[in-house]
Amino acid sequence: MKTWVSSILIIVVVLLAGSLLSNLIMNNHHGNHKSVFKTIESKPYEPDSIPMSSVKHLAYLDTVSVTAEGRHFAILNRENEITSFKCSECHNEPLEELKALKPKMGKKSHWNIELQHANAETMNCNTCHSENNMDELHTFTGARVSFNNSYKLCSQCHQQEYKDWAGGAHGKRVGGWAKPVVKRTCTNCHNPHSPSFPHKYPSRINTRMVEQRAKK
Amino acid sequence: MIIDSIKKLQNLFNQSAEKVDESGGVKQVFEKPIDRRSSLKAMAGGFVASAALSGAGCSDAKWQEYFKGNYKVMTDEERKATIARLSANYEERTGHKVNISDKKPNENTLFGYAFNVSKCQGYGDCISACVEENNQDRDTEMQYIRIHEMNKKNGINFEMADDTFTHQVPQEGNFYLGTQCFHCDNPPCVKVCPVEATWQETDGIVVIDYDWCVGCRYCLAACPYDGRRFNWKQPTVPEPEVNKEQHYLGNRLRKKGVMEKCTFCVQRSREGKNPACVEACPTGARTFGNILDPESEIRYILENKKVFRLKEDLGTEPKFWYYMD
Repeated sequence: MKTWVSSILIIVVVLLAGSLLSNLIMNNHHGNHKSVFKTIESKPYEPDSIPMSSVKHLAYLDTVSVTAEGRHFAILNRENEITSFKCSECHNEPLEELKALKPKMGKKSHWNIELQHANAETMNCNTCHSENNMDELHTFTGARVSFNNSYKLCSQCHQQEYKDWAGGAHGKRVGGWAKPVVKRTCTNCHNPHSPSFPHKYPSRINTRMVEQRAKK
Repeated sequence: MIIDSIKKLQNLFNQSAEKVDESGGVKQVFEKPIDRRSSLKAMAGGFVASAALSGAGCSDAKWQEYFKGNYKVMTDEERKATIARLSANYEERTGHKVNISDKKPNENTLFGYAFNVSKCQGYGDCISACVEENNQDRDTEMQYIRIHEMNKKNGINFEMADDTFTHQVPQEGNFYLGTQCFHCDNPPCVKVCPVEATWQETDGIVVIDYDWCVGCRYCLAACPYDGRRFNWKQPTVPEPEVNKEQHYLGNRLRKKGVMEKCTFCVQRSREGKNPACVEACPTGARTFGNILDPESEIRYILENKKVFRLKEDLGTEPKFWYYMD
């Protein structure tokens, strides 16, 4: 009886020691380094404690303040970038009347714009441009939107991209990583008439690596 | 005794410097006629050193530069002094000024990086910008960044990936994934360095003191991510292409026989700018920022996207996350 009890005790002790030992080994294997997420959590952030600012990298930039998804930041001024804005300087009469003049006027002014964005059933010029006020854009419901805030039009369909852009997972910052935040707006990277990115050759080819690969 | 012998050696150097033809100019520190290891051998070997150094004009500044300490443990004055010597040397050699910074890490900052695998198109503008920003050797075409072209069928598989593609991109059926130094929070390369020439700064950047590195390449072997590069030859950058805005721990000119790697463009990031690769990327696949700041873009990504890191099981804690749309 006694030997039976003692043998069970010995087994329990051996098992305990084994699990402790393996724990130690595992810890050593991974190094006792804490996860970087724990570092983030353990350091409460004090916004004013960072003297870092990207202001000096943003000098001379023409920006517009916006609020998207509850975040305040600035985007680049678009209207001042568009050549021959305001559009009404030419489009001083309704589009239909201009179209009627077309045979007399010869070459179309916007001959180089070809709409490659969704399909013709979904989108045409009027989806974004206002026929009667060429200086502004409009949403599906007819709300007026300035060229500066064109992201509001894009967000009508591209909701996830819009949220990610406002948050920071889509798009690009201007200036640097530090505050204040200035972002590129949708049309700074995407041509709204043909938003997808082009196919092209890589900008730098490593000839040494190409040679090495050829030898294999 | 030892001090006396060092002084004697110094005198010998100075004497030989007067004799030699100076037409070649003072050879740059980056191209020392003898390196640290052989100099120690030479010292042990007595006056052999004078012969070895006779080709170089050896001024007092050069002597000080030669026997300076590890940047990590230098005082601010010592740091200023070595930077002054390096800048003066460069100006003497090329007639152009360089601005070498010794800017320390910003407080309350831990740099992190995110890479959108769905967005990268393999254009390689990041590589180009990196090479130009960081004065990488043009002859051997050293590049810190690799863009791996992977087939969607195979998933993330580096053995079946191609990082030397020359065709038009993006190619149908492929996706592109970039790698570089991940600035691990638990960096194996730092652990193995026998001379502590590489270490992690408080803002998370893993840096190298190029002048303290002995070129043993242990770190190159220890890095599980192919993040480190070795200078097998004297790196060269055509003078007009040299980026003059430098950092001691960043893109200042390197020499033969030392390690180098991505520093998150320490000369830029500590000034609030984005690394050159982030700025150059035309698709916005690259995001950089302070992971301690809850309002930063990088934190939005960590909190809202399905992020992953490479070889997470190794416990290296890279501060470089991948995500997809």
